[in-house]
Amino acid sequence: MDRFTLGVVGGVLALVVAGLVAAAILRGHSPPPDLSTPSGVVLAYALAEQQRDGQAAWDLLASSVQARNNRDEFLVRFGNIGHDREYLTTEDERIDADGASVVLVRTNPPSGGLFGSSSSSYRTTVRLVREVDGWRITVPPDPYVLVSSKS
Amino acid sequence: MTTIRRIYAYLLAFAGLAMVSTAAANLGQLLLDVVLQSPVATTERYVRDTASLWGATALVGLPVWLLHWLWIQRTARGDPSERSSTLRRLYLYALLGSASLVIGFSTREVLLRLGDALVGIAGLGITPDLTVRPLPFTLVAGVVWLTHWRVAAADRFQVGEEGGSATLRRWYVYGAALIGLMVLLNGARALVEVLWQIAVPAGASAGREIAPPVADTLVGLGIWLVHWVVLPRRLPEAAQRDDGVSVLRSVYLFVVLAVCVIGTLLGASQLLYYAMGRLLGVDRPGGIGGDLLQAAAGPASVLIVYGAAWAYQRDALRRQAVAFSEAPRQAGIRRLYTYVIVLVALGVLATGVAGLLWTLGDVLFAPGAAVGDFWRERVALYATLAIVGLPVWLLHWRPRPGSAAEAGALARRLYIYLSLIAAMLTVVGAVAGVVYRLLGLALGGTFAQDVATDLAHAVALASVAALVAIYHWRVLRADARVAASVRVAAASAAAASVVIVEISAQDADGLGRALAALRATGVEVRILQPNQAT
Repeated sequence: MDRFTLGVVGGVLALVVAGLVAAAILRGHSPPPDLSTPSGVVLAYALAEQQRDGQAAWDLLASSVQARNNRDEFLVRFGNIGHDREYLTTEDERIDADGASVVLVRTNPPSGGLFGSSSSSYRTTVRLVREVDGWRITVPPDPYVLVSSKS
Repeated sequence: MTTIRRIYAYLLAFAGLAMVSTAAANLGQLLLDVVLQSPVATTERYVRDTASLWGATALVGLPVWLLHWLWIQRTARGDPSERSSTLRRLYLYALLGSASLVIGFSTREVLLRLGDALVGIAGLGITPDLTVRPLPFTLVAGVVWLTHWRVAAADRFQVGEEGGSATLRRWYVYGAALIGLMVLLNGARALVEVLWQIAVPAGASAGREIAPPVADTLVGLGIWLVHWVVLPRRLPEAAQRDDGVSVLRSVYLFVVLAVCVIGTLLGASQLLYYAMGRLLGVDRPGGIGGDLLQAAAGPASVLIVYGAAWAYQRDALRRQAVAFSEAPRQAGIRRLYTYVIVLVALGVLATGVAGLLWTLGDVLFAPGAAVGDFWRERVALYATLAIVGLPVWLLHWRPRPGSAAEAGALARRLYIYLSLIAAMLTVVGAVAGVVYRLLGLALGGTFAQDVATDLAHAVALASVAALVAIYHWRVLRADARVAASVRVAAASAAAASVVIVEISAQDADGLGRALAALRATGVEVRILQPNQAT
């Protein structure tokens, strides 16, 4: 095997090790969203969507929203949301007398994987209200999960 | 008999025999229905209609077939060239192929119904009328197959087998063996998967799923064994020798090997991906959640069955190499196989490496990319592709060709140029992507998440594709130097009657064969340093 081929093999192995080590190390070190801020609450809700954790998302809804909706129906609808392949970030956080609003930015990497077209981002405004135990969501990023009224 | 008359006679004989045999099978089925008092044969009208339809078909088909077949046989008895004609062999092997298919399908149906009855689907129990209905098709096709194989064997015994007629037999035998093996592999894979799911805790219960794979496995095994093991051993020794160095045999061996290699790698990479994803904390790698043991049933069954077939096929190739010396066209098939695997492995490896670079670039530069599990799932996927692709590429790829013939081989040049073309097109596309995003930024756009990930994507693709292009450009130039040195050596040899050449081979046997081949041309060969020979 010539030197160039050996170099290529070494480079590939180094890259694989670097990727795996980074993923393993950062696994326990990515800080959880800061739930004392509106942006943190919105990010936590979006992460719950990615992990299909309906109970965590339900707990982040404002009490007035929970009162108007059926929890079991919410969990069923929530389980059908497919946002698990998106990058998440927030921007334009505003706090006013009525509550707060945060823009959730979801970016889909190229849909065809490595050889896909360019990525796309879409923005959703999330409304929040301050309650006793912190900021809670009144208008979630996917409001259709709340359409059913409590029976 | 003239060619056009032959075409007419064999076509009519084929059509007549198809009518007679189909009618006989259907009439046999009707007889079984009536004897076993099947629910489908309860009305007198059904029995009358079926009997008249297939009776009429048999009455029309039988004289057509008999007249033409007897005419053909009478001509063949008086004219050996008729017996050895390609059209006659085409007729015989087309019939054998069609009969094999009918035997396979009808036997599968019988086994499927028997299996369903045995495992108690819908509480039906064993219903003989339903189970044996396809049997007449198996029996009639079996009779057709056996009589025509005997006709072909008698022809071979009387007038021998050369050129087109031997090739037609090989097309039939190796084609049927290939189909049989594919059915066997698929059936065995599904059977292992069902058994795995039954064995793991909280897995599926035995039931309807087990009958189809068992039927497929048995039918595939039967077809493959008959055509790969039994029939070749019944051929005359000369035909067996010719088959050993035939191109179609090599094509069969390497196509099967390629299928086994690709199947094994797919199974292994899927297993590795699930395991690595879970180790990196991803709940549902590839959308597969729940118990890892259950999720592993599919890829593990592929790995087990195709891996075993890979081992068998490698052994078959080794036995072939021991028994027969490789003909030049067989060497071409071997090279084609090798470079197809190299090309696939390079594609997998390059995708893995570029994907890893892209993901790490995203984590470093795209805001929000490191939030959640998605990026770790991508690391698991692309690392798996690189880990699987690298050893396969290294095992099959030779940066320095073993000989001048290897350097100039069409398969090698195709591989190198295809890699170069794909890499250069990727570089061009990726650079266009970079320029598009940079121009957007220059014209006042903001550096947001989508811009960052698109740039990381394009830069990763361009880097890896450029590396692939440079690597293969260097290989191309090195191969050209080898070819040029051979031309110079040939020119020198033409100018002088005595030259010193260096010959290298993979082993002593190969070197011995090469020296013997040189001596066989009449030139004198003297070994200067026997101990350093490689």
